[in-house]
Amino acid sequence: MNMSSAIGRPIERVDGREMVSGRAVYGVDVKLPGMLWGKVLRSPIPHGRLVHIDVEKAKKIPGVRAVITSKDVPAKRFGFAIKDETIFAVDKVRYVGDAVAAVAAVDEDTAEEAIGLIDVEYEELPAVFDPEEACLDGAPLVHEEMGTYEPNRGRSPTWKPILGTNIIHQAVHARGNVEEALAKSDFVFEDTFRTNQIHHCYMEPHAAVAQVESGKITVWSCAQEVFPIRSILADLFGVPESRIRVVATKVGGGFGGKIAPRLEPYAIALALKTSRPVKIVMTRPEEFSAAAGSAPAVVYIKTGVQKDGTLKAREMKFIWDTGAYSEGLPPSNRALKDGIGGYRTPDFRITSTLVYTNKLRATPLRGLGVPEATWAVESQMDMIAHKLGMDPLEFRLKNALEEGDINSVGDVVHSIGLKQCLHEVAKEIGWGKPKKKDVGRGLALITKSPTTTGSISGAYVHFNEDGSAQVLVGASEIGQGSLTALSQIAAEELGIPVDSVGIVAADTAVCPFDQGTFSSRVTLYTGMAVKAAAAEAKKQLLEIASQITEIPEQDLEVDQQKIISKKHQGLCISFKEVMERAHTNMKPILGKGWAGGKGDWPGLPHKLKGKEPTPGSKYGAQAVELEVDKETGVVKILKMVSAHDAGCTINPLTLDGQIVGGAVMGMGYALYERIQFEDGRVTNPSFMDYKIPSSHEIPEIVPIRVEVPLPEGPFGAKGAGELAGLGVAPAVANAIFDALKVRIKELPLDPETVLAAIERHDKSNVAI
Amino acid sequence: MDCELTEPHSMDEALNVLSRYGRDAMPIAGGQSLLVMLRNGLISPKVLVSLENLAEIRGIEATQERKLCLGAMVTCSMLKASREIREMAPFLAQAAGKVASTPIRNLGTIGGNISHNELGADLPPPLLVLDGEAECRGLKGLRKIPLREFFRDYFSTSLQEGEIVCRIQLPSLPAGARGVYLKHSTRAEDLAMVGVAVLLVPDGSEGKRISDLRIALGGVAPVPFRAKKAESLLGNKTVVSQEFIKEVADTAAGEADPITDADASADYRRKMVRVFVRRAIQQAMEK
Amino acid sequence: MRVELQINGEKSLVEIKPAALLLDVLRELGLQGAKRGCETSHCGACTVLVNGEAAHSCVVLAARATGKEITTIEGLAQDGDLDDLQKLFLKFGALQCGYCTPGMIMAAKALVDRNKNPTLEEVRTALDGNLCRCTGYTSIFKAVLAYAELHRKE
Repeated sequence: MNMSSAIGRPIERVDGREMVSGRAVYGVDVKLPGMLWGKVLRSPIPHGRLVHIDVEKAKKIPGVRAVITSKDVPAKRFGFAIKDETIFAVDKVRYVGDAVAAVAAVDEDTAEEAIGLIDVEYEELPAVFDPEEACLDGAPLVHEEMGTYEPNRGRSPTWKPILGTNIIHQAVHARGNVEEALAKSDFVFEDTFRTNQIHHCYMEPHAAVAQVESGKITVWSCAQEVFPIRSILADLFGVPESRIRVVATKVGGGFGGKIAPRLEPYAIALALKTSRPVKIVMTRPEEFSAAAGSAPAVVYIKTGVQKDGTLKAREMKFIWDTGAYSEGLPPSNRALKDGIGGYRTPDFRITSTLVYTNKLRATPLRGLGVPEATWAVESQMDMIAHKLGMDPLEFRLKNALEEGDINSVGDVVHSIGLKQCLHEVAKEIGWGKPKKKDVGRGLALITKSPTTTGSISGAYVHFNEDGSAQVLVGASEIGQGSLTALSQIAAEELGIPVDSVGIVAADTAVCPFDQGTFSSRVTLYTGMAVKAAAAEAKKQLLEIASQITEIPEQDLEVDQQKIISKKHQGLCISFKEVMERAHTNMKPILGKGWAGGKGDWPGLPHKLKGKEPTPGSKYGAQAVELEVDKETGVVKILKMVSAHDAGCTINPLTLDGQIVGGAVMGMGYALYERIQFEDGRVTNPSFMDYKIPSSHEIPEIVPIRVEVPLPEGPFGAKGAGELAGLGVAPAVANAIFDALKVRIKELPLDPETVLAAIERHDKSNVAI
Repeated sequence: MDCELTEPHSMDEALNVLSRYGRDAMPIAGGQSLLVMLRNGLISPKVLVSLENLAEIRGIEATQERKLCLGAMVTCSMLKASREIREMAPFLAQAAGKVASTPIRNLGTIGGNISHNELGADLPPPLLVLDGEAECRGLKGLRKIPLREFFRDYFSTSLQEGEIVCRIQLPSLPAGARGVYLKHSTRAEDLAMVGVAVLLVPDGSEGKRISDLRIALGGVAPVPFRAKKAESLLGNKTVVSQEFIKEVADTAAGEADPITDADASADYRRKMVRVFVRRAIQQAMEK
Repeated sequence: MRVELQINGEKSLVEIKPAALLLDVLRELGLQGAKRGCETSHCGACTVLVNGEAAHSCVVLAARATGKEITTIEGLAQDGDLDDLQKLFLKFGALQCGYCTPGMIMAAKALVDRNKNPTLEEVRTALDGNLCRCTGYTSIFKAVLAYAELHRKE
């Protein structure tokens, strides 16, 4: 590789200096003159009619500038997936945490005091907490008016509610004839797996600041997707999008939990009411009980195999709990597409049922439904291998997708390092080598197709007068290192050092449209947009240089911020000189580019023929080695290996960061994370009772980069991030089975669950 | 969070303020638990009485008779690092090193820890097997309360209004005494689901007899306590066999009265008492 | 009440409520590197040094910090030059979203300033009061051990 290349180098975070200095500005750090603090009053009951709200006492507290309820805000429904919520509860509350009113006051304590003085009268209604129960006849209805709801513009075209029930969406994705194929299989395996609901636990609680000035609204927030949020807010408040500006602050982690609007509507409503800027920040208990969690699922999986280990058919049924609002739709749809896993499976059917309950809502979480599917598939793959007497590694290799196969989305697979990933993790974990007693090793294969549904990204690249460059993109930096990777891509294309790239992101007033940061799409989509914009900027630069030097464009090239020519050896004119001339009396350089689109809906003709791939499918494998304390059920992970085929590496430092960070998040999902409920109320809303991995729990982790170039990606890159935690849970369960011959089908694999499984196994002494 | 703060420089001054304000005043030691409760609205004192300037209760002393005297304001970090404790009761230093996290150990005190009496705290079990005694002062005078009588109920102790713990006295240990503290928790920095402290004294014969057996359990009852029934199984001629250890562990498990909470069920906790009492005795025997 | 606080080598006289927490006072003073990430003193995003020792500033009364040396993340860089530990965090990619970073760096600093040869276990212990959701900690351990090594050479 060219030593001057920006690609593949461990460039330090371009936004790193401010973070290590403590000067990065997160939402909570934004300070504006006259700013007020906002707080939200939330329902203490899971389901009830709102009978009466009395705000008079609250209003009277000195320092309180506004107390608002549904009467004071637009009555419109909005929602990220389906428009099923209002800013404040109008006639009823649907979960413990549903917003009922809000206060703006001169400081946080006063706002808190005022919240405590708002009197609300509820008429409690029967509630339903379990998604399977919520599907039964006679279950209390969470959204009686579901029939009048509309999807959020373009996001959910295949929304299929079952009216009169709590089933907001039921869909099927199928290929071939799964009944026939199952009937022809030598063996059929049927199992049910359960997952836990986890919280994203980004370290930065949600924060939003809204300011209204001369009819223009500005919102600073921790938004992963500023443009979709702007559209929702503009529609909600009846303001043209040209008069709402959404700016993503530094975002302290998102993992999908900061995609949908959360605090922005209250901040705007309070700012409109008080004519002053208003800041609202969630407390950590509020995060756990009123923000959102992942979408947990009950997964029924039926797989048909031949005795030689060939996978023939797979049927899966998911029942997803979306809680009180429909943001669980994206993960349920993604699992619908990707659920069967990265295997050749000609005949399959996946049914996904998304159900309302009176609990904390689900929202996209890293992996977008695929962690739940992978938990079931990768656990069952081992169970099948064991029954067939096959090595779990060989069984997977036999059926794993290869170049030219058609995947579950209907695409012809290309650029796939899946088997390579499996080989790498197996080697690194010592697969097949001797191990100590009570030590187990387990594998999982992981894959996820991109959640494009037509997602698009734009980018602008301009040259500055001194020859440095300016990049403008709409996707947010949420910690994954996108600003850095995109700077590297621009630098490489332009032939300038990374240091010479300035980048501004996620400001709707300044940056071009981008669907946003989710599903590991930024490196690929925004990256290709940046590459295209940079190429255009470079072309314009060369055009101008050609005019200045009177040398044909095709004989000019860029090198280290200079224009040189192989044909005219003496030529050397700096970018600065070109730009100064350009800006004096020629023209500005305005490079623009975009990428994405087309979508992956199976019904489209080009999809059925598998001709137009939705690029950006990601592949990987994970392996763990662990030991189990049979008396306590404590699982101690000794080593985790995670291989990713992220295509060509843009930045090894940030890529490894995603691989390792995601593996640890996967470890928490596997071993002890679970939002706990009692009668609809979250009972562990703190870092004391909801435990995420901390420094003592970290095992040896080996990240492996497998680089199969993606031609459609920027310099061959695919992206990473969402894949990273997918396989840890099943790998752990498989390793526990390897160690003890005990199979567990529910998460988390906490000591009590593991011990109970060991005891049951010892009693029955039957290996499953 | 509108409350006053006073920072007395003498014990008498502190006790006077506490007495004057009665229920409206709370002593604040390290504040690591108190300030969390204050911030979350779980307590609302009118006055906080800081014990920080009371130098007389911030020391660790070992007497010639090998008694240990720990000032109430000694922090967990100080306990962990103390040369005297590491020499005379190393398992207490280890237990101190397991409390919460480093920053909390830096400020959290032994007096605050036992006065707070949170379920699963790490210091009480070792202090109980060390037969510790809390020296408590109020305006009425000095009271010495054996720790076995100090803990009353969840978050509740024998301290009367206006009284604070000043010192914890640990009597000298029999020669050859060995102590172990085992903590079972989801993560290292969590409160113990089950905390077991064992102290035993080998009687000098070739190995398998002991002259004293003390067992304290934390996290499995409203208060940390000595498992007296289990201890009483030790007779004059008892050989510490696997069977004996099992019987002791089973008995101790029967004395526990655990709850089900976010961390674990009562049933699991009881099982873990059995496991960790057995392991603690085994480890102490092997030392 | 008025208290004098010595922060990053500078004295400030501040008017505070008696039960004001050091975290909130620091942030009011414009030192916003220390963050609130939880309400139970578990996350460590608020970690600062008090007399060189790591403390969760969300459970320190500002009034009791008087007469002590308080060091925050803003006090590390000298004349605009990043401190070695800050540089190593960047070099090893020991940060992603950056929210835990100021607290993490301060906790690490407290360790290495007193112990120039920490084991990995000692690093874990020093950071056991600092949660990170992004990095998986591994790169942080590497950065801290590299910092210790650098200091041993000096």
